[in-house]
Amino acid sequence: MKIWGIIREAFTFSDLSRGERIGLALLLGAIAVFPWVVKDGFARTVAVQFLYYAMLGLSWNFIGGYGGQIDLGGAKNVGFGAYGVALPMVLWDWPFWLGLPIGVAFAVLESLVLGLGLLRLRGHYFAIGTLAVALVWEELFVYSEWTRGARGLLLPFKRAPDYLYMQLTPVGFHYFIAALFVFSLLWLNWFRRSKLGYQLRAIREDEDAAASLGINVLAAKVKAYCISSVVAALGGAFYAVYYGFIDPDSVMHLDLSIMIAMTALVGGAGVLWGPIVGAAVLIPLDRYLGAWFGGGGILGMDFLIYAVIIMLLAAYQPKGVAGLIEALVLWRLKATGRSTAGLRAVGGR
Amino acid sequence: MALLNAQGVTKRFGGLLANDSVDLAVEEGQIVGLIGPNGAGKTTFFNCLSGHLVPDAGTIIFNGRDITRWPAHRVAQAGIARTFQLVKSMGGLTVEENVMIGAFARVDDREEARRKARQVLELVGLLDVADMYPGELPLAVQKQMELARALATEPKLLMLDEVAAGLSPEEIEGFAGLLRKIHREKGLAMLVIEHVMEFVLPLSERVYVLAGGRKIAEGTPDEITNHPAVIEAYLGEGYARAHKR
Amino acid sequence: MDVVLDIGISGVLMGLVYALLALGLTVIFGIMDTVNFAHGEFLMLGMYAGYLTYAYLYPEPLAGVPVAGLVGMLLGVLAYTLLVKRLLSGPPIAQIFGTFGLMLFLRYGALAVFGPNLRSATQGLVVAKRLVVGGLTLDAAKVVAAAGSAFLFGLVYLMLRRTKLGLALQATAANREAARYMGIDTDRMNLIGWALGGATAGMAGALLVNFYYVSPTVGMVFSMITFTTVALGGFGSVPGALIAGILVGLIEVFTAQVISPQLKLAVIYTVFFLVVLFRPRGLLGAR
Repeated sequence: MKIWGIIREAFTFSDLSRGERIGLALLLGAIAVFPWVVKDGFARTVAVQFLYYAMLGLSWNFIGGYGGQIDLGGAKNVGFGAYGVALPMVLWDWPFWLGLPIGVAFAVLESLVLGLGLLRLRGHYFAIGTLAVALVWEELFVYSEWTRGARGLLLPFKRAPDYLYMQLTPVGFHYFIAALFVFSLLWLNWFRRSKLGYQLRAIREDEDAAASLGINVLAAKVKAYCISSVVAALGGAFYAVYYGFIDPDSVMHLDLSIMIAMTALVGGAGVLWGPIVGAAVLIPLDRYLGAWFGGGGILGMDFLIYAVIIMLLAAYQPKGVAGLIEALVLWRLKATGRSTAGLRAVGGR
Repeated sequence: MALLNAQGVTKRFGGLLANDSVDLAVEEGQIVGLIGPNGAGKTTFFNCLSGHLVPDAGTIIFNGRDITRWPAHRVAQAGIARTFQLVKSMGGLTVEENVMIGAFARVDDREEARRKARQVLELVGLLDVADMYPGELPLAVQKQMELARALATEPKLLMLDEVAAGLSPEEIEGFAGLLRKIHREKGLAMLVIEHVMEFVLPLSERVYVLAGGRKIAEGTPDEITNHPAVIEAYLGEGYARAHKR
Repeated sequence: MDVVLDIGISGVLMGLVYALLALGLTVIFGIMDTVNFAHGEFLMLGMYAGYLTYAYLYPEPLAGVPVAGLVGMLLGVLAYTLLVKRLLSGPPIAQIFGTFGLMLFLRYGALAVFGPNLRSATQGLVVAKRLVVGGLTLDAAKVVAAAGSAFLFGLVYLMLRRTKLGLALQATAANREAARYMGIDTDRMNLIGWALGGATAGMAGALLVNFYYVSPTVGMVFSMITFTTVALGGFGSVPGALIAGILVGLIEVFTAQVISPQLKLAVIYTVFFLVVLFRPRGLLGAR
């Protein structure tokens, strides 16, 4: 019976505003019909990347957004998910579905063990700690012969569509990542209104107060950190089969960790739809910028632009797009002389 | 058997002896005051009781269990709730959500927590501002919210750290009334740290006095106001005279 | 035995440079309880300032040291006045992301301006020179970098201990509120802390040009080494920075020798992780 309660909760969006619900419905509708309407290969790739990064941003929101613990090492979990699928497939020709649980389990186990240490740290220390841990993993994967080091792993070729090895057609991949994205969205939607979600928000606001109200701060943070790692590892598993090639640079690099945190920050950390909006802004921007500048363009231009966005947001609007909308709504209410009380919960936090 | 029995609680910070073997007991349903000048070690003692600090020596027995080394969240689950000297309202959560966090200490279901939160908000008279954010409310209301949040954990003992600090005389009066009402309706024990004598003495059945980290006196409010050591350490002649009459 | 001595000396020499790097970060941390993620990027730009001086103005890397100091100071002042000052009034998330964004900006800005190529100085007073002292053969460039770092460290230390400004900085670090009541302009102290941090990081960078390659992405490595050093020495502790710097230098060279040169950073990051976990006040910090 309990499982039905959880499922019902995951599908309940009643606390969101009408505008938010309409936006979400339109987005899901657009995702569903996209491959039938758009035939352009480049646009399809951008759509898949949008869903992939939105999903990773949602994973960051569990611990970073709702929990207020700035995770700068999210890429390691993507890497675990990707290598979990790719390594057994390359070494022993294991199908996707056997490798997937291995990668996810490793990500959870690692997050559990290191999380018990890392999550005792507060604020800057946690952020630096996650950075350090992710860098260690990256180095280990780069220098380990077993993971083929910096050369990376090329997945064995199967004739598409192969549902055992998940080598799909472009349309198939679109629905595959769409399904993972929706799953992550529903999980986060359940989370934010669950007891655990409330506890994480309390911890974000004040750890001492949270503890004084009976919350086991460390345990709650570790739980959210583990959930976050599951979602990120699922994304990594998808990445491995989608591109057919992975190396530490593509699935464990600092740049990926930055992108993950960025999607949430730009859209609104701790807001359900924040990472989706963030990815919707960043990914097309990045890919089309990249296309415009071409191969001979300015190196690192995308990250230079991100850096400016991060600094501007940090200095002027730490709540990202959600904060801008909040400010706009507030301003309109004030301009029309209506009460502003209780109308701030953009994104049904 | 007292509800709370602290014996020989000692806490050092580097070379500073913040608490030197402090004893204190609170009976079931009793309101106990804890007073002392600034730097007497009241808040340190409080933090030791609530699990935010671990004492270097001494034992704390609550409800028949030794909670001396328990972390804060276990102490809270065992039935000690507290407020903070500097209000710790969770600014990103509405008043109702703040109190729900307290209620979640006993229930798992969100709507049940909401129901409980609203009950407590009604008790302290904050139902009107349930959907507001603490930052929009005056300090006195934030303190009431913190009280409601603590009550929502269904404590057996409520510990209040300087609730009157920063409030106007009228607000203090109102707060005292509120605490009496809660005590009457719920019959729960309270431990009140206070600076403002006019607030704590009439409220308390028993008063402990800390100075320089040690307990220098204990007794009924009347005994305390007449206690020579207390007058010397803290109250000043003026107050004692005014209250003898 | 000689090998151990050789490695030990090499570790101490590098360690002194790390100590100078950590000094700036620990002063900023002490004063305002904020971590500067871009500290390694200050060093990286100091390296470029030094290298460009060498390449275009005067063919001696050591001539770039004062230039790099000025560039670093300017960077610190700009970073504080344009960005950090605004972040201080924001939520914690903004403070963490703010200097992290600055780190990315400087890193990828340098990549856009200078390109990804590694550069290094090929001539100069101490470049690729050997120094023979009592039977030991030392790398002259490293000796000079270490001596320069030690000298600058000492200078800053004396400034903190002996001058009025230094005492005001220390008072701010000890208790911000009290310092303000005593009439210290704490906002100005923040600015000076950032100027000092930028200048020392910049000069450390220029000293490295004598024997280390210059590239836009070296900053991250040095940032992490600096964080580790500051954590080991205790956040905010100046003498701690010196001892911890040498310790990190030794850990680095011994790991490279005993385990694998490729894993020396992994070991340093692990040390950081273990220290903040088990000794959050630093290995040498007060309990």
